[in-house]
Amino acid sequence: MVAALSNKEFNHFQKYIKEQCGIAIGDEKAYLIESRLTKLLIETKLNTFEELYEMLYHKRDPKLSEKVIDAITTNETLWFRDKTPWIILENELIPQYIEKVRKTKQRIRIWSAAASSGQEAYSTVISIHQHLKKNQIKDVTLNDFEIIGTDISAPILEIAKAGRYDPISIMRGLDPKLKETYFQNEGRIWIFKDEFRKHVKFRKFNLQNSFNSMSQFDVIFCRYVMIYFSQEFKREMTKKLAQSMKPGGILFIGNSEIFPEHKDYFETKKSGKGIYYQVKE
Amino acid sequence: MKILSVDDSAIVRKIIQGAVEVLNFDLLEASDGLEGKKVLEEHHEEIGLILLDWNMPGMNGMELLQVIKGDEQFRHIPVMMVTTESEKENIVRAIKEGAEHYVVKPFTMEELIKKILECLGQGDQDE
Amino acid sequence: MNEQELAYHRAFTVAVSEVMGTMTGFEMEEDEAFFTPDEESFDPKETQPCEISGAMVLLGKKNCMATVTMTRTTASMLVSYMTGIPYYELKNGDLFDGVAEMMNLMAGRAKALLSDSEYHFDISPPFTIVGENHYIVHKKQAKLIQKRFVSNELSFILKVFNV
Repeated sequence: MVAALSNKEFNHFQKYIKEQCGIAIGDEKAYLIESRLTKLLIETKLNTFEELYEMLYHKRDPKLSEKVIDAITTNETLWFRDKTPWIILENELIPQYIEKVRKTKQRIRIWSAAASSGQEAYSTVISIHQHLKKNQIKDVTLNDFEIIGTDISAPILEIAKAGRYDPISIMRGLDPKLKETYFQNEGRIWIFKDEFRKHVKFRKFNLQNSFNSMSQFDVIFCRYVMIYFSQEFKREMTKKLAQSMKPGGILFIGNSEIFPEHKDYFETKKSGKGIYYQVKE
Repeated sequence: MKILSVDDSAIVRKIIQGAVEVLNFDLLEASDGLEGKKVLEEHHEEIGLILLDWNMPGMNGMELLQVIKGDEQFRHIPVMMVTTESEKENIVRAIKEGAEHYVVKPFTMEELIKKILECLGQGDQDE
Repeated sequence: MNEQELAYHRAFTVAVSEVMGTMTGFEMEEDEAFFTPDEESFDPKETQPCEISGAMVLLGKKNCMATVTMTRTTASMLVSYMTGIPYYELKNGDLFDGVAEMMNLMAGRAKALLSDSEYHFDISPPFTIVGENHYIVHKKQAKLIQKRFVSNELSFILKVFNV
């Protein structure tokens, strides 16, 4: 066999990813898996994919599952990742929220539940501000939106809070025209401007904990994080997310994620090329 | 605090510079092992981490690693080897010689930043 | 093509796609429609004049050369996204070093993927060939791989051939 990853080994990993993350990897992607896992093989100092799978299967290294999933799924944090959630926000949801603010005077609450270095939360700020600006809306401002970003990793949250981005990360997914408006330059580093950054509060939070402290939200972004959870925990998460929604609340998950157990709590909605989930009454 | 990048590719050093600066550290650079040794001698009190390429002309990464770990003045400074995937056996040797960490190219900026934080003991704590 | 030759081709396709995706954010995909007639060992007239090639020697049972050839515009965009240096600020040195590093990483990934196969190889340090409107021309019989990779307006041609 020329390829280092045999068919049998590929099938093992294919099944594991399907069961763990709900992500179906086609047979033609065997080389992709091999390529991504080769790096992990080196890091774990194992010699064969068989050994890697054995370790995974027998749960000998608690972090290994996370590393395998990380290696196979694209885990880079981008600006406006997947694009469609932001398109849906700008075209459909923000107009509704503007009306809601006008009627109820209540703030729109948005939660970025795996905020990492902050791009998702700050992309949301940019989306809202762009909509308000384009439509010359003066009576509703960013102050009418409350955005919370949480992550399990304290060091990464510090980067998010500071809103500091290296010259490479700033280019990934961000329209260069937006850079001038929303960022200031410090040498080669780009910093999300204070006047916009202040609209996001970041804090450490473990999604395995109770959501009681989080209150209710109009929008929750929970993207590319449930892939790491067991089936049982995913079911629990779905319920917790539904309970954290205001009436008519919207959930965005990753575009390539499958959301198998949502029908009890959420309705699937399609908009253009995107999908989102609305909490049931 | 300063981070030293020893790499014969100016491009790789530029990429590393982005990660170092976003974390609010300063970068020191060297394009080969000998130059790296000179920079170390001059600035070792300020250097908190060394990112070390493997293949370099003149004194290569392994040779510089041996100098670092063999010298009382520099031994305590953590070293992260920057290697390509084709150099697996080198990683094992580097760890045996005392390298504390390694990062495999190609890497995303996120990976590199996380690895640097781990090296400095500021990585994720287990919940 | 037999199974082993297919695997050799796929290793390079995956290496290009993965390395470029990680380092630049551009998903470089193989242009299935790219075709060079057998009688010619250089690029068809339809491609844009190229100015920069990254190159490496692959040392194995049969020694090969791998080259990746592109226009200056493509090189500037790719190196800009790889380093965060705005394309209009890129100096020649950065550009040529960047293309060499891309070649280094792609060949390194292909090497790792093929390390357990009969096609395993070692790699030389990378280098860059620079010149307006240049082609990489080799004997027809030496051709192993000739593929075009594209992402939006960007494209380059990967060649692997016996030396």
